[in-house]
Amino acid sequence: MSVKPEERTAEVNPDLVAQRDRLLEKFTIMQADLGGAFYEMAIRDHVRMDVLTRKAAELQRVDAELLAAERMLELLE
Amino acid sequence: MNSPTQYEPCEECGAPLDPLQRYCVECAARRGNGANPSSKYFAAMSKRARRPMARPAAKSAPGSRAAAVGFFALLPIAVAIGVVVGRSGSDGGENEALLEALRNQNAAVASTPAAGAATTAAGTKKGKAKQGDKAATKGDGKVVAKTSNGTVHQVTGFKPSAQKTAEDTKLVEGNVEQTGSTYIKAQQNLPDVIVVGGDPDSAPAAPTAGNQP
Repeated sequence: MSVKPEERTAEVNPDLVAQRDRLLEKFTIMQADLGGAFYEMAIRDHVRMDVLTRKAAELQRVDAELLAAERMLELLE
Repeated sequence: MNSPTQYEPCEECGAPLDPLQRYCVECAARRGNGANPSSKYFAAMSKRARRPMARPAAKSAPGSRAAAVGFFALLPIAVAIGVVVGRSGSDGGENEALLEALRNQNAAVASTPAAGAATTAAGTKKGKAKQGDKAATKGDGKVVAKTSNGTVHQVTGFKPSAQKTAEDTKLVEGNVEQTGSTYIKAQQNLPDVIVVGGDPDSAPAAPTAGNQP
């Protein structure tokens, strides 16, 4: 029985895997919120670029954390 | 007069929100009324991901089940074929010949067979049968009665000729070797009186149950 690499990583560092999953979920929700907010502003002809840029910056920070977690897991595998 | 539309304030910035509005256009905050389809989708996906994987139902081995059904369906057919083959292969046509002989045999045939049948091969024509009766009468002694099945001769005090003794002895010795339909035909053609000559101790052994047809 061969063990998948993901299962092997979870055995090695389960906390890091859980953190990666939380960041992934957060990033997905924030990205959907950014797109939804822009859609709402556009259909009401009330686009606030400063607000969207601020939300995009928060999303970028989460994206960087997620990328770091995934790199760490790749190194541990 | 139209009543003014009711606007709910944004939870983050207090800006008025339309009932169909999903995000605040002032601060981009998501509205928490559950009207956002993407929120519903992510909630459903999250629940599905946290639910333990349902173990797939064990298959009920369709091959073995079909084999069992086929076995019980074919069992009576196989038994019927076995019975038919056993009946047809074990005794062949000998049973039919025996049944045919028993049907044709009359009650008195054991005591009064047509004597002419022994001497004539065909034995079917009446003239030949009468000739046989005469011949039997000459060599077989006193006639007691004449029936439709043949002539009955008296056994008591009968003195057979040497030729009669030799012929009957040969006939009996030949009967021992006969089996099946040949034996049945030979039995039907026996005369009513049979003389067996020779030494009783040197007679051939009587047929056992296994040798009888």
